[in-house]
Amino acid sequence: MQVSIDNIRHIERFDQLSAPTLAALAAIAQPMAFDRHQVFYQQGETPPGVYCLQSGQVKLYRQAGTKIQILVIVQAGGAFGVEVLNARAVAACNAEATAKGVAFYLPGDKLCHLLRVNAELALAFLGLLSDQFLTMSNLVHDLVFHDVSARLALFLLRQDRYPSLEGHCISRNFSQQELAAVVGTGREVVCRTLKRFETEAILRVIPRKILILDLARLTALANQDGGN
Amino acid sequence: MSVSIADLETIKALSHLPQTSLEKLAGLMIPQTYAPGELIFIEDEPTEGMWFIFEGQVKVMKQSSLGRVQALCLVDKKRCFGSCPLFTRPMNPASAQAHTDVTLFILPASAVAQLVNRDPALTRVLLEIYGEYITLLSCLSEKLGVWRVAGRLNDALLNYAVPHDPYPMVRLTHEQLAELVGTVREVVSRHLLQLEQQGLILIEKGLIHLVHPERLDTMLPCAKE
Repeated sequence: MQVSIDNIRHIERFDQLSAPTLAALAAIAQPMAFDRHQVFYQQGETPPGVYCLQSGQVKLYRQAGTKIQILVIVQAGGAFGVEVLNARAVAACNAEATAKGVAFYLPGDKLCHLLRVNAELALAFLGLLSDQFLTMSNLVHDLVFHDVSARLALFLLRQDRYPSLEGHCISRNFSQQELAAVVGTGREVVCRTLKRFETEAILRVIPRKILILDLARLTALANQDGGN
Repeated sequence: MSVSIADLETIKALSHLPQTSLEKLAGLMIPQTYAPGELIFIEDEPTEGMWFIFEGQVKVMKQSSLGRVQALCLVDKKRCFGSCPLFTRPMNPASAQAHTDVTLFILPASAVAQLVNRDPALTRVLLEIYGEYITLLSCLSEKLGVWRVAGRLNDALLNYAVPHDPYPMVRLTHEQLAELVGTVREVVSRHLLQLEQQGLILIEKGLIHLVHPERLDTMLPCAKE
């Protein structure tokens, strides 16, 4: 099975690439399917190439002893492993699937060769790195200047919402442990903060969903700055 | 002062570039000097270009809307810093301030755009630079998210120590250390006093000598990679 040009075009920053560049990527791309909990690479290893996600979800995280900090949750259309591509350095984080899906993989050596000869592609990869740089920079800002309530509110607001009769809903496809690792705190603190949000009628936690009852209050909490 | 090829060869990220690329860069770079404490660029203002440190040390920091400041790192000479002026939101994601007397080479944003389209060697350098930035921010996020203040302080001591006889030396005040690890001066002073009582460091005014850096290293929350 081959990766189609259309599949490649659905990855961020690849949508504007010319037909010959897309064809060159398709020629080296290798399709793969993955299950929940599959590890793509670990902190300190050199990833074999760049992974482009067509469906499913992957968390990028760093581990210090038993504690973890989730840096990014990559969704369909995202790519990861780009940051060590050119220097062939070691990964600064672990990459593990949080939901099963399909991806295609661009082997590092072949991709590096393409980047040397194709300025348009190199620019697209610089764009991907630039996007990641901004995401990481925002995470650092959140960790420094927002308290746990604000970080939790921010995370919930960044999730896809769908309307229901009682308000906006978020699919709860993350555990409280994962939520704590994203927010940069312990599971107990997340649990306590969610309970407080429920008591204040900001949201309601129901099986596999979070119902947002007061979007304005949640937004106001997320915008609190300098509280940490 | 003009920028020479020999000057550029001392910058780590540029040292492997071919002579032709260095020649082009030398013609486009603008040298600039700053006094200690002077602001080089400000968070959320438009990015002017890429910055390479020829001499001195630069503090990169973020500021909340209420004015609270958190230093992210001190960048040493021969390194570069700043945002990617080509993509996404061409605004500075942080502020930069001269920590010592500083000489910088600035590559203006318009020149970056022009060179990237024509010079694959420079594009590879940019890919490496941004890869390094992301690695740095990943490590920083872990430290801010899951490390305790004591771990962050020990890490800062090890990161900012310079070789000195008989012990490596950190030339930072307690106030500066507090700004770097996100705490207050009193907490830093208390922690340093404990380390001194354990015989791990020696404290002088504005100087900290690391008597046993290897023991500080084993006290970090992560196993060293």
